[in-house]
Amino acid sequence: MAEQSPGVEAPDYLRFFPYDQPYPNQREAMDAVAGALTAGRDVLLEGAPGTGKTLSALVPALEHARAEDRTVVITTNVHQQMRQFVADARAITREESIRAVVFRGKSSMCHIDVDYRECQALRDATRTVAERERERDELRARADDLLAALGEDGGDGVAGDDVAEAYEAVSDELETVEDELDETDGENVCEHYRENLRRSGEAFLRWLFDDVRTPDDVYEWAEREGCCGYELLKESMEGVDLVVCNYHHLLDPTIREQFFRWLGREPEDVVAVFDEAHNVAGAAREHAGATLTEQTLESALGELAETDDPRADPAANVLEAFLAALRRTWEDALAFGEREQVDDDWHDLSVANDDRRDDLTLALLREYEGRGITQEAETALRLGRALDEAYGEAFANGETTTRQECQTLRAAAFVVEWMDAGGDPSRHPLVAVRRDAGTGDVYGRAELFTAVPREVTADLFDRVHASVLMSATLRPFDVTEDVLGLSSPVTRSFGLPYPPERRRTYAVETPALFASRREDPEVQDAVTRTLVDAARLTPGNLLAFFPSYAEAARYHRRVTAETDATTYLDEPGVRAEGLRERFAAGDDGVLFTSLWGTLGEGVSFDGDDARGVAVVGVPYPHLDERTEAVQAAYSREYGDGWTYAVEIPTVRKTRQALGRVIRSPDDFGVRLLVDERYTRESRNMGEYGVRGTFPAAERDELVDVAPEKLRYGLFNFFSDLGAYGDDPPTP
Amino acid sequence: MDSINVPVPGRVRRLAADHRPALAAFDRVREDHSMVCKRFERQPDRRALDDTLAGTPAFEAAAVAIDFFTNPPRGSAPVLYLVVESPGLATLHRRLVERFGTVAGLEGDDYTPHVTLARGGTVADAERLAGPLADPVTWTVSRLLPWNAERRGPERSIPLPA
Repeated sequence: MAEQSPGVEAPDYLRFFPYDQPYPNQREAMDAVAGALTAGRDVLLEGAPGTGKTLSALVPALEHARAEDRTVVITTNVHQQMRQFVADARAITREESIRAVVFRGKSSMCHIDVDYRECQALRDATRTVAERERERDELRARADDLLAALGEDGGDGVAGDDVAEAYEAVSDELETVEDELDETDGENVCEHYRENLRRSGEAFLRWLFDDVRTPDDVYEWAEREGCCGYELLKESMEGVDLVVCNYHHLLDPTIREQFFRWLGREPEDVVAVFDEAHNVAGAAREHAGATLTEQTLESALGELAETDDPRADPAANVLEAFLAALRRTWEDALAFGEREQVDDDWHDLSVANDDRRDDLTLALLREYEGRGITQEAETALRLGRALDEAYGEAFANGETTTRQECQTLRAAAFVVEWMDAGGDPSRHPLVAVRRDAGTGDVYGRAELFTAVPREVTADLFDRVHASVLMSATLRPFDVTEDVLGLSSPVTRSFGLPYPPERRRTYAVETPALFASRREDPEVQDAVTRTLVDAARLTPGNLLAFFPSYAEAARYHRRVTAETDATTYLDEPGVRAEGLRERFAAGDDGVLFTSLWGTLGEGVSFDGDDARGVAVVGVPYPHLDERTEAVQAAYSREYGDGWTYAVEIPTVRKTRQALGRVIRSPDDFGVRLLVDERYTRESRNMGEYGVRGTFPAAERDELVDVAPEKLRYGLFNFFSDLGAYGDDPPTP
Repeated sequence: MDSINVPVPGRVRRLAADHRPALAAFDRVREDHSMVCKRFERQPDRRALDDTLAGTPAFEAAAVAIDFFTNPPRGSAPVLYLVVESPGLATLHRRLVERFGTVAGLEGDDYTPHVTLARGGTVADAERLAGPLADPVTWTVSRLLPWNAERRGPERSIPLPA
């Protein structure tokens, strides 16, 4: 339990604080969050890793929820972080009991591996059967009672006639129900769900809320008991204090509505907490898009060919035209020789035009003959809905063994959406191709890409009582606010609370690693020498991030030739975890990786896992059409697409990488930004300098250093900390 | 509008990419960097084209500076571009003009080989970026691409020397 400082009244929320004493920063953050929640305002909270952001948000949120009868939903998209939430929630519930549910998608919790539609149909059928069984059991019990009464009576009294009559009626009814049950014998039911219906949920609830259980715990419990853990969990969520889940439960507009229903809460009774919130924009974009492949279109046409409904002809007409237009579009868009290079990853092709509709729509207008694309697409949509309903019924009645999915419905819904999106600048049309690994055929996909996440997130932030967004990299706050559609949130940022003399951040004045100068020997030599010096003078491991895997490989090769340190190369397509462990276990290594790989965030290198981190170059992402669409949309919305869409996310990524080392007060290390665009001098580089994009306090920590002076700086820094032991290197 | 284009190497595309922070001030930034050698009202006869190109050697080209047009015959201004120096390309352009004539209003005597970077900003923005390149990019042109404007792609690839 938290101790009270003398003379200061402890706020109520501290009862949920599971450790001795909050950090001073944490206390300030908790006050800010508590105040904001009372006022129903959103909060943007930036704090360096290891500063206790999670508890800073969670503790006052739980107090608020308890007082106002609300539920706190805390979400992340980083798996590691989920585990941290469970650990925090467990610590809390041991101090002040809370009812917490850790929720995960159905697909990972199903005991019989069916998809969600099939599951829904199975549950409907199971419920019907279970209801009849219950009826049958009741009738049997009554029949037995009546039979017993009849026996006692001896069969000769007036009362006996009534009883006999009643018995007859009951056994008639019983016969009907048993017949019905026999009839439904062939129907598909889920035995796990059936078991849920047979028992009262109390034993599960008692077990569940006795501690904080992970989805794996729930799965094991349910497997042992022969139940469905997912459904039990879903039904246990009503009115709980805390739910831990993944982003998509809140960001996917369809799942979100169901999720609130399971919680038994109106959105205004939910407090949403987002961790690693710099990822919310990207995740929201993924949930906002829509796609349609040729395969779905073909399945839909096959389905329509077997349908008698008169609407099938116009439906097939419009879907055929769309399929032909899609094929024609990607065939035309593939450049000379490009087709041969298509592999089993989706490969985006440009179809948008500045001055007219996109190439796919233009092709569709040429291909199509009929009474109207929109009209026929809507007919197809109505037919799709009717077919889908029929598939559901057929499965529930046991006529089919799987819940068939209606492809016409999917295809028609997309075509309607595609036609509606025409002229809406926030929905960017794309066509992509990939090669089917099995058949070797190339096929296409149409996509509506939603560039502005605000269109998905603003509605969520409007409707919930309040949201807390936290991350190590949220600033500039006004940009985060605009991009996500928050209105006048409370903002707080906390720097590293650790002793500043235990870290040093250098901006090394090596020539800018412009893409066009990557092959330049002068640049390569300067970067190589810097890394060799850094490796030699860092008493421990050094983590080096590059703009791409190719650059990581280049400098891995060059540095390996000139250093005694053990070098490690992270490569795309190879799991990085093993490499990370080997690197962390050693004490004189350099790990080369891409900033856009898996080691750039969410993975920490504590204590002597790494004593230095270097970001080489300004790692702008590859500018593909999606980034372009985001940039164009941001230009329309905010006037400066480059800064919002590219520069700020790039600097955030750099700051995330710098945050990989120095994770506690006793930790120490250096952080190197290797490129003149990070230095003070870069002010003279106009738009090319990025120093100004760092928050002021972090900018002030950047010490400019000439490449040939870096080794003296490192030597002095580590010597002062006594980090070299008995055998210091010579600078 | 069809044309004969000269492909641009990755180093030139990367050079363009490096200028992205500054190009953001323009309305449109070009993604597909290429260089026009000669425009045509309509696709020239294949044999006539091959005859004219016969004997054309591979030649050098160098992107040496950034400059801009304030009065392009079409589209928004200014047009910011990489200045390309290439006597070989100039010779080839002249030969194609002699055989196929010029496109009225678009091509004159003053052919300036260039790679468009962006267009539609202010002249002040363009002036700020204009100037010689610190590191000119030199490459050898070893193929030509007859460009189909409707398909927005090359019809074929003609290796040099032809």
